[in-house]
Order: sequence, then structure tokens, then C-alpha cells
Amino acid sequence: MMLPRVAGALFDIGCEIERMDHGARVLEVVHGMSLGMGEQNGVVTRLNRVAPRSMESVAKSAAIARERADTVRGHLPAELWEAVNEANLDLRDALEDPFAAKGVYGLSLCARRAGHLVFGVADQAMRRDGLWHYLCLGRFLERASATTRLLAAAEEAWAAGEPADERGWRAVLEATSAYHAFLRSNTAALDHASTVRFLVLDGEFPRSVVFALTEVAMALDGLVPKGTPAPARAASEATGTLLSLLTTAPPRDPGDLIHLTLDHLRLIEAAIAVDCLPRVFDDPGGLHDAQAAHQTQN
Amino acid sequence: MSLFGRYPVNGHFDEMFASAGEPRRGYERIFSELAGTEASVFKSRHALAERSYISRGITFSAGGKEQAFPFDLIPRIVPSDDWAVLEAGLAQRVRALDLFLADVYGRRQCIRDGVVPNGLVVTCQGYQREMVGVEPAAGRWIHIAGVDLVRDHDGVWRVLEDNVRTPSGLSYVVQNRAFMQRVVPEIFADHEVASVADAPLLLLEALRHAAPPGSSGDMPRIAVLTPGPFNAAYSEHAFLAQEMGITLVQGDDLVVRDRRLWVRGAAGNQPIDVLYRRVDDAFLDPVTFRPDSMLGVAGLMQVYREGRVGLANAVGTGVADDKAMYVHVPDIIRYFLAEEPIIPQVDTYLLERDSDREYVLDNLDRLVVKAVDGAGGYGMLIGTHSTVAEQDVFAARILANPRGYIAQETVQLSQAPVFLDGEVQPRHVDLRPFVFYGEHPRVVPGGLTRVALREGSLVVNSSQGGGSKDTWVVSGS
Repeated sequence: MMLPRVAGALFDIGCEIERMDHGARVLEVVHGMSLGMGEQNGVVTRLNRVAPRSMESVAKSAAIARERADTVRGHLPAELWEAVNEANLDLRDALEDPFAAKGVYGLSLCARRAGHLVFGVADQAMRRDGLWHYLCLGRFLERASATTRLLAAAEEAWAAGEPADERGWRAVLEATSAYHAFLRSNTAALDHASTVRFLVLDGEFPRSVVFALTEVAMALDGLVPKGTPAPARAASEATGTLLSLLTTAPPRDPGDLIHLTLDHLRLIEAAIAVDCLPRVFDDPGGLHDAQAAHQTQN
Repeated sequence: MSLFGRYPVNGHFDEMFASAGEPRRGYERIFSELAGTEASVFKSRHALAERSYISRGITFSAGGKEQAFPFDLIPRIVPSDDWAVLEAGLAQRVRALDLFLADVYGRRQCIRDGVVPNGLVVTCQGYQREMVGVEPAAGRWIHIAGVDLVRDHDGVWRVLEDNVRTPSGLSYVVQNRAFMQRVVPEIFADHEVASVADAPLLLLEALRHAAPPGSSGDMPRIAVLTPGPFNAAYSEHAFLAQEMGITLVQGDDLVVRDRRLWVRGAAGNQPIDVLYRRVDDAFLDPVTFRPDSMLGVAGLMQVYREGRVGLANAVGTGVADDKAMYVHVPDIIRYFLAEEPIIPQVDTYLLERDSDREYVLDNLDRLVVKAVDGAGGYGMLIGTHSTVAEQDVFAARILANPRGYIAQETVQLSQAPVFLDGEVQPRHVDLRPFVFYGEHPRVVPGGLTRVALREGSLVVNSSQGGGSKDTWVVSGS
């Protein structure tokens, strides 16, 4: 049986682990690109603005995921709880390691591996029930948003006429682990338009917006069955609308494509918050936690 | 240097050694296996076990850093024939306490017959007037009990105290064994060790017995009620829920509607037949008990009294494990079972009695004084380890509230070898076995050996720096 607060926690875990993984990739790419870069590249500069401020903020995502997992650990497969807990512990240890802290590679590698482990364990150990759908919902909604935000940042540089050569578009693709997939699948030159179209529309690449939205739609289908009255299906319908627009008649202009995606994603996020996520009541005085701490366990 | 090369057998009863270098019955093979192990190897095994505990989140916070609960890799061994006696004694004790509770809240015949004074019963903090006349499902009050045993200077097993409200530590019994099998598999060779892996399922069986008649057929719906992550035993609540395959809930997840208890699910409410509650009586229901409780469910006691939900353990069991009631347990066993107690207990003084109080006040420097409602090793004075000022404080407390304290002769707890700071050292230990009471009492073989990690300390509670050991009941030794 699925409790609303557990569902909310799974959504958050999916979201935070994805954010950790994505943040680590972006930070590593931006860090690498900025080293020894003589000529200014507008795209890289813009990416730097949307990248996490530091590895501490990447580690913060792992800490939040761990905290959320702790509140529901009795509902998770033990291996999944361990993987989330380990992710937090490993990142914390890595941050304290003076050698690793000098660059971002060690920490980024640690974060990415932790992300693979968490989702790999979830894939192998979770039933495909409501909890699984909530984990996927958080994970892929965050992924669709993160990819779109990255493209929007790069697009701003392009629109502002800032210097942006191939290195910038390669950075965008590498930050989403898409560079080699792009090269293999795309005969077009590496430029602004081809990068945006690939990362939004290539439904076969797992970090594209269309791929992530398809996963969001599947998760919503698992959570909100088709016979459900329309008001409770706002999230499903908003997701379906965007997917339909992107797969049948996407705008040709890359800027329009990004803005359309961003606008619809906001609607989807709002609808999911209303349709699917529990309302959280604060315990401002900390009375609940204080009472919990003082229960006799003799 | 052998792992046990400098190990002193120093006058206390030692669990492993009859004398220096001479292992007791059951320990011979462990001794020969471990004696040849380098301390550095053992240290790395310990580090691995510690890491496993931290990965699992079985930790406590010390100075802002998470630390694993200390766990020692040298098992404590109880030969199966010795265990058979303890098993019978533990089952006897829990059966008697269960009957006592039914009587105290029912006919009160044992009070009329003078076995237990009424004044003592009704002044127990764990006595709940709201339970008078209530008969829980199958008449069972205690579904899980943790009975603390110690071995004295002569190696005699004695009951130190009973825990029949929300006894804690079962998860460590199961997890300690699992970690041992991973980290030091070789020491299991040539031993026939009674398994503890199915302990959560035995608990589940006992919990099923708490279901109201006709609730959900053969498979009652059971949940674990936890106070939440801020409670020190939260990892245990989560572990047991997982291992039993039942839902872990907090008070907010539950609601009373239509005179039934329900879990508020994302896809609708589902009824609950039995609640394995790890929340104190006083917090279970803000309508009946503390109105400020954030941990319970409004209206729970009403449906409980009506027999529409089972609670394990029953509300009000605290009257049976009150430290002052402990004095009367041998008589309770004789009265309800017409049997002599199998396991003796520690000589105890009731400070309400003038003669006992006088004696205790004159001998505070060598007795142990405990608050009757204390837990976790808090609120006690160990006379032999105390200062005169501390004794004065306790003397004043006793005089102000004699009902609030008991005193016991100091038992020089047995000691066992523990790997600390790179070498094996003796430390005092006790044993908490667990008894599940469904249709019949069933005792988990072994139990949790708790270790006082500070040299010379007699306080084994984890909240005060205690650790634990795996406990093996070994056949054919």
C-alpha cells in the first residue's frame, strides 16, 4: 500500500539524484572548458551561470535525497536505501578529501557513479508499482527540465550574439553525455540548431526532452489511469500536449523550440504538484520530532 | 602475538575463559580459530563491519558525525543445553506476566489474594486505568518481550529486568548475525549455530495473534507504528517492517473512521487489524491520553476497547515491567503457574518498606539504585562507582519519593573478550533474549549481547556508549 508521504519522498529522491548527476556533469564540463580557454566563449560562460556553484551544492542534492529516503526507508528495498545512503556518505567523504577537493573530476565521478548505482538498484530491486512510477516521475521530469534549462542558457548566448563556436555546443552535448551519440546519429554540422534539435527531439537519446517526457507520460499513466476524471488528469494531458507538439509539429526555430518546451514544462510541473504530490504540513515548533525522540524504546 | 596473548582473566566470571588460555565449553574452536589471527587482520574485519553498519544507516550521531553502533566480532556462545534451561525460564516468565496483566486489568484476584499490593499496582507509571475491563484479542497482552539476563560472579544466570512495553534490539540480533556471516565467515566452520534469520517472521506470527476475531480472515493487515526518524530506534522499526513485509506508518498516516482504524493510502484508505506500536502509551491517542501528542491517532483507544483493532504490545503492559513490580515476579510465577521460577533474579529492595530503605541508605556505596520508571541506563546510581556527593543526591531523592526508586545488590556482571583499540580486552556484558507470544511463547535463540565498552563500566545501554555482540546458541558442544 502506498502512502502519500512515501510517494512524495520517492518523487523527491528521483528528482534529487537526477539533479546530483546532472549537476556533476555540467560542473565538470564547464570546469574543463574554462581551463586554458584563451578566447571567451559565450556559451561556456552562460553554462557556467546555470552550473551548480560548487560540488557542495551537488553533494547537497545527495544529502536531501538521503534525508528523504531516511523518512521512508521501511518502504524501500533495503538495497535502494543503502545506495542512496552510500551516495551521500561517499560525496561527503570526497568533499573532505583534500586532494579530490582540488578539482571537480573526483567528486563528479563519485556523484555520477552514485547516480548510476541508485537508479540501477531501483531498476533491479523495485516492483513496477506506484512507488516506482513516482521515482521515475521525479527523475525524468527533472531531466527534461535540466536539459531544457541548459539549452535555454546556451540559447541566450546565441541570441545575444556572444562569441559561440563549436566548443560551446560540444560543451552542451558533453554536459548531457550526448556528444558521441550526437556524432553517431547526426550528419549535420555541430552548431546551434543541430544541438538544440538533437537534445529536444531525438526520442532515442535518453537525455533528450522527448525521451524524458515519454517516461514522464508513462509514469503518469501508471499513477493516474486513463478512466480518471479530467481534473485529475491535468498532468497527463499537459504532458501529452507537449509531446504531441514536439513529435508532430516542432517549431523550426531553435529559440522557439526551447521556449515552447520551457513554457509547457512549467505547466506540467504545476499540474503534477496539484494532481500527484501530497501537501506537506510543517512542524514549525519541532514538537513532533521532540516527542519522537523521547519515546521509550526499552 | 596471539589475539588473546595479553587477555587477563581477572577475577570476574569470564564468558570465554575458565582460566587464562583455557576456553570454556563451546568456545574451543572459536578460540583456536581466532588465536592465530593477526590483530591487524581482525582490525580490518572490524572496519568492514563498521562500514556495513554505516551503509545500512544503523548509526548514531556523535559530535555531528554519524558513527556505527559498536559491534564486536567475537561471538558469545551459549551451549544449547544451557540455552534450553534459559528458554524454558524465559517462556515461563512471560506467560506469568501475561496472565498477571490480564488479572490486574480484569478480575484483580491476585491483588485480593495478596500476591501484589494494590497500592503498588495503581501507582505504577505504566498502569493505565483506561484498560480496566478491556480484554485484548485472544486475551494476549504481551506479544514481544525483551528480558535482560546477567551472569553473576559465579556464572549463575539471573533476570535483571523485564521489558514488556516496546522492547528494542531485535533488529540487531538479526543484523549482527548477517554481518558476522559476511565479515568473518570462517569462524562459523564446524559450528552448528541456531539461526536467528526468521526472528522477524516469528514476530509477525505473534502479531497475527493480536488480530481481533474475524478481522481479515487468516491474513490480518498489520502495520508498524513508528514515532519517525527522530527516534533512536527508527532504523529498527524500518528494518522490522521490511523484514515482515508490512507497512511502516506514522500517526499522521492513520485515521479512525466508522469505528475502524485505517491507513490513508494514496489510492484510498485501507483498514488495519493490528498495530505493532513503537510509541509510548501516553502518546497513542490524544483524545484519551496526552492531548498534545503529535505521534498518535485520535480515537484509537475507542476502537481498541471495542475490539476492532489489536495493539502489540497491549496498552498498560508497563505495570508488569515496573522496576518495583520486579520484586514480586517470582510470586507472580508461583501464583499463576503453580511453578517455581526457573531463572533466579537479583536481590532487590523496595524503598517504600522502612527496613529496606534504612538498609539501602546505609549501604548506598555498594548498591545499585534505579528509578522505577528509568530506562536506557539513566536515572541510576551504581554505588561502587559513585562519589559521596552523588550518593547524597540519591539519598535525598529516595527520602522525597521512596516509591520512585528500588535498590539492588550490585551484580558483578560477567565479562567477555571484546576487540578494542587493536587488542582483545575484557568488558562486562548482559544478554537480552526476545520472547514472542502468539499462541505459545517462542524464544529467539540467543538474543542481543550488550557490551559496556568503557573499562569497568556496568552500563551496557547503547544510549550510554554500549555496544553489542552476536550470540550463538551452539549444539553439540
